[in-house]
Amino acid sequence: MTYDFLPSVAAPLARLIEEFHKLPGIGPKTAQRLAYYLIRMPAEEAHSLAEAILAVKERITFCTVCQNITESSPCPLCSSQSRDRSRLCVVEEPLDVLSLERTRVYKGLYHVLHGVISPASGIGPENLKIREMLERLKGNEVEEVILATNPSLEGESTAMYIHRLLLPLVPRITRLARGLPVGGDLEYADEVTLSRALEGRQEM
Amino acid sequence: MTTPPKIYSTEAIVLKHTPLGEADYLLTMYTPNRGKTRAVAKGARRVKSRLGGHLEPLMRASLLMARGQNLDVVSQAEALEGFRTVREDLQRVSQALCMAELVDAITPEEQPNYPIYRLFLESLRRLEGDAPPSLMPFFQLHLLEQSGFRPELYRCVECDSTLAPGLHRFAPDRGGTLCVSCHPPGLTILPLSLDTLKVLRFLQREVYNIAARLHLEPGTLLEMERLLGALLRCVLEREVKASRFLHQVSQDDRERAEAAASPANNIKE
Repeated sequence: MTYDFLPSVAAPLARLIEEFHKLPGIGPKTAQRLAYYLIRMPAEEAHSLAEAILAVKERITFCTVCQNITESSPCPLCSSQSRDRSRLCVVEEPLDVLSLERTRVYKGLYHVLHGVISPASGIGPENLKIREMLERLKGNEVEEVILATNPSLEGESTAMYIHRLLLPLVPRITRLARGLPVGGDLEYADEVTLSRALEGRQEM
Repeated sequence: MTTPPKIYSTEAIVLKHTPLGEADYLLTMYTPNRGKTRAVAKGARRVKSRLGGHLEPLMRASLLMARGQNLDVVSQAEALEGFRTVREDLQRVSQALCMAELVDAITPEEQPNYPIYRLFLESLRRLEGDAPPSLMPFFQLHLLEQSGFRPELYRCVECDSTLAPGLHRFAPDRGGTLCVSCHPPGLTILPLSLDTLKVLRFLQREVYNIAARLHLEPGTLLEMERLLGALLRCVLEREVKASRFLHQVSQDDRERAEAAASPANNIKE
């Protein structure tokens, strides 16, 4: 619509520029550049891009069990027989599942909260997938819940809040260790991190 | 005219941070000499960031800042006080976040107000310590006072007559007490008990060390919470978002305490 006053821009092109402009981090100039790039693109590549966008919208859903992004619900992780069903790892975002899977250490199940309690932004527990998690844990064989929210103020608050709710439901609730990152530097560590690293020190 | 230095150091308490770009944070902080100020912490979201841990919300940190085009950039940071007890207790952290949001909402940018800095810092320290129930109303009353919204608690905001004991109400839109004979149209009027009025006056008048000794009845505390909440909503012209979570946590705590106190719960299944 912005390009109505410029008859030199063909209508389909103007529409494409508008659509790009809606994306995060894309300004008017970038939108124009992307649109003109697409015009010069081979037709099959453009088709494949369009299909990929449609496929994401049409085929991707949320897993009814763990709330992760998936193509089939329940997702492969939730329906897998080889996963340890006695452990449940609670994470903030779908991307956190990827990071934890990359470690190849954890073999249990996940639950994605899709956010974190952030009182200052008005995001409360009711905006997260906490109710779904409690439903899931009722009458389940889960023996340990690992709270793997970020070690930030919001992540810690969320973990504390969930911990309260889980106490009567789960025999064991754990929190990821907090301390120094690999390749880190003591000199630059803050006091909270360092004191926790000291408390969590281990025999070697 | 001399140009301001390109680099300066300051102390600050982080009020909040919002993600910016790939790995940066946009910080809103309260400083003793510059008031509320915003700055960019580059790379602070990376695990190995040298800034990250020092610039979490509610941290008091010593900073070296570089003046930028629009926003200043944090070039070095070292945490001075981490308020760990506050961080590790849901009730305390929600109170602290509520305070931080109030400071953020009520203060304009780049306007020094040292009393507010002191008040906020002292309140966080109290919260880290014994965190008495009078802390929140004390903080709210004095924050309002230091930002020029001191509530009137002695005279009627409508007719300016001195209030008679027992004959008073509260008008948050007018920022104070109302006598019983004034009926301004279209005004929200809240009931105000004599006990609560006395406690409000006491908290407004006293320094913290004396105010903290006050024993508060749960009813008085709730009434005060409601009145000050309404007053702050009128001053800020918006809801205090963090207070909703604080209410949720407080209510949860009360229910828990009641459940623990009731004898039915002590019977083992």
